[in-house]
Amino acid sequence: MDESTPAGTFIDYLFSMFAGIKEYVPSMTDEFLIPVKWLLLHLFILYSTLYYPSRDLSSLGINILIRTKGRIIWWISKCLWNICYVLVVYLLIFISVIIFCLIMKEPISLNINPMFVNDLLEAESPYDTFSNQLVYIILLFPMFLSISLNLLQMTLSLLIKPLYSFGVMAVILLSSAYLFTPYLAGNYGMPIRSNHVVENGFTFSGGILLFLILIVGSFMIGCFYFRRYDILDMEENK
Amino acid sequence: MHKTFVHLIKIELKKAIKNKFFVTTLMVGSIFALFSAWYMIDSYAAFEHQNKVYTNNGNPMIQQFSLFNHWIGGEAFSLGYTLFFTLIPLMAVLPYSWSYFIENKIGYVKSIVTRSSKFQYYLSKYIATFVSGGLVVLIPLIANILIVACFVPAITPTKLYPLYYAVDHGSLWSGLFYTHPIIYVLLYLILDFVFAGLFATMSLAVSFFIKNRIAIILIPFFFILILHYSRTFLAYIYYNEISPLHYLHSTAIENYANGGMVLTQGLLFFILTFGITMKLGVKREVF
Amino acid sequence: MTTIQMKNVSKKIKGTTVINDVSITCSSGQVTGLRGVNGSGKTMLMRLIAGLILPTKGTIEIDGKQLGKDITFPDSIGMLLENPSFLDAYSGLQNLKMLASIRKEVDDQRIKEVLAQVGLSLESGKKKYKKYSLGMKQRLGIAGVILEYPDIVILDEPTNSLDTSGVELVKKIVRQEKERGAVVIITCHDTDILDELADSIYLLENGTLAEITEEV
Repeated sequence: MDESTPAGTFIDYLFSMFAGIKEYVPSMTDEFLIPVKWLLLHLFILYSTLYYPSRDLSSLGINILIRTKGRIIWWISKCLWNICYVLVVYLLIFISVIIFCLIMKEPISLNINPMFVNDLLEAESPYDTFSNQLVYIILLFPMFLSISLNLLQMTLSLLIKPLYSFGVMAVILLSSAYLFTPYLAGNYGMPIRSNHVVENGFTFSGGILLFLILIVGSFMIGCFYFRRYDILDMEENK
Repeated sequence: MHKTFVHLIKIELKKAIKNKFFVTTLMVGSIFALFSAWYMIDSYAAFEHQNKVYTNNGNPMIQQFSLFNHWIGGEAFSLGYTLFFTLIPLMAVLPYSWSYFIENKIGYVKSIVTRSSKFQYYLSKYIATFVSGGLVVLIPLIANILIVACFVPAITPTKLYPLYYAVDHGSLWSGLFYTHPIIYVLLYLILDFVFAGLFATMSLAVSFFIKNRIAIILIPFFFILILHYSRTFLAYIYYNEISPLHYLHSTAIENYANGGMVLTQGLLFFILTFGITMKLGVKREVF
Repeated sequence: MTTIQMKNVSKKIKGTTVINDVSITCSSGQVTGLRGVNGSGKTMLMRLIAGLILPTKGTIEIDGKQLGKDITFPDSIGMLLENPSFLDAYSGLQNLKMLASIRKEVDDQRIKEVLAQVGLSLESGKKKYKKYSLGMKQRLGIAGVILEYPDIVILDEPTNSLDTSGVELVKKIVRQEKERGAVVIITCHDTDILDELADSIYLLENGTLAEITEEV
């Protein structure tokens, strides 16, 4: 390693993993490249939670559902399962990065190296130092995005076939990468697009608000719909 | 026996194309393709308007704006393009790739193989799956190019504007692009059809090993995404495109399409999917 | 005239012997009954006769042609194994048409005739299969078996999910198939039905032939 290159910290590695891509400005001479690492991470989590809730309604779950005597409780349990699953996945990611840092003798700190942000992530950031809030964004927002989209996917699976629901999530993620807009949640899930990195970036409070709307909205729509949901239909969704 | 196969293939093709999954996926794919067409026609209209404003003021660079860099396979900067080309492996498998898994699960295979043969059943299933995956991608591409052609002239591309035509010397069929662009586009349509068909048959092959419908459908998509990601490890080492998501696009997005690489991957996908389907299908007992 | 000859047939699946040294002969115009508790190997024996699985030891010959060697499947067979299996997205009628169009041996008239024979109206034939009740599914399954006048008819628990009239219908169909000259092989948990229909009954225990009752 070059002496002038500082060591990558725990948060630097997480940042590079969750970063996403900077704003894309369409131009005939600049092709759009999908943020495949970021996309794979979120899609894989979405995939791994896709099967269980729908399968659960077609076999063993029916017996559990009848015994719980309440559809809403069942729905709450599925939402909690979903949230816990995402939390565990992110915990595993954090632990893996810590282990990696320990092995590679990299510092386990929350100091972001500005050099990496511009050179490796190509963020084109005008800032030399980064606030602590960016650390929270890196640690929390990708996780919140996963939780929001997972709940949305599960709720949508009540209305359309789970695979199409997954397809909708893929479209949301891709559109978020392409469109620089505060109305698409994926934008907040890319820490590189935060206002702590770029001047026209997205705010912390905006992200929290959108994630809350998505989480609470999905949960409420699910509750409302599931109360009258015909479990017979779910069998066909398998 | 030959007659039975013809009947079987007809039935399979009908099942593969006349089903709601095919229609839904085709609609979604067409929406992506229309998004791209709309965006590109709009961008061409803006260029024309600009030409009118700055009339007789320098080079209008007419060859810069052609059908061949405005159709979805030639442009790489609209949302429609992004969605369509990234989701090709997913769109291709949705129409019919799950069919063998379902027929095997419910025991329907028994009724077919005893009326024909295992070889005929699996061959017709492979062909139908391939065609359904190919068509669901090919039809929106054709629709897109036809619509864009109604608004953007099919001017033969020129190498004078290299920035606007990412087809360089040595890239797949590059000679044709600057001489017979229509043939070039037709060849790319065939290439996209073939690869989408192969993506679809990946699911069919996977269903011999995995008993989860969602996994069967999504494995090819994830496989192609991982392959796409793996190209980042070859940056500054290998300068040809290894990701189908890129080389299925007629103009280069990152690296240039290498004929040998495309052929190798295509053959590998075919040998693996066809080999697994026919070998295991014919060999395995039906329960 | 069709003859099925099973000679010392054994079948092992994943190390477990499911059929052990079974020898049976069935001929045209005869109804052969198989009896045994759940898991005794009745369905497995039927799968072997249908050519869906091949014996680990022994041979099965259909009119002198060995299954798995001279032929892959019997030339003309209709079977209902475990549950009827049709495609959910199509109607009962479409499902039958699809099966018939593989060999094109029978026409639409025959399909309608067969539907009526199993007690399904043309109207219910036009309903999607997934909307069928269990009994209707079973009836359609039987229709699929006899559709193309097969030489070999295999019926695994054909009276499952059927009401009294349905059971009577099965009995009638079995007799008709026998008169037509088909080899009929049937399993049924209801011993009375089996006694009534079968010319010979084989009792299976853990995959082994335990008892043969001829000319019931």
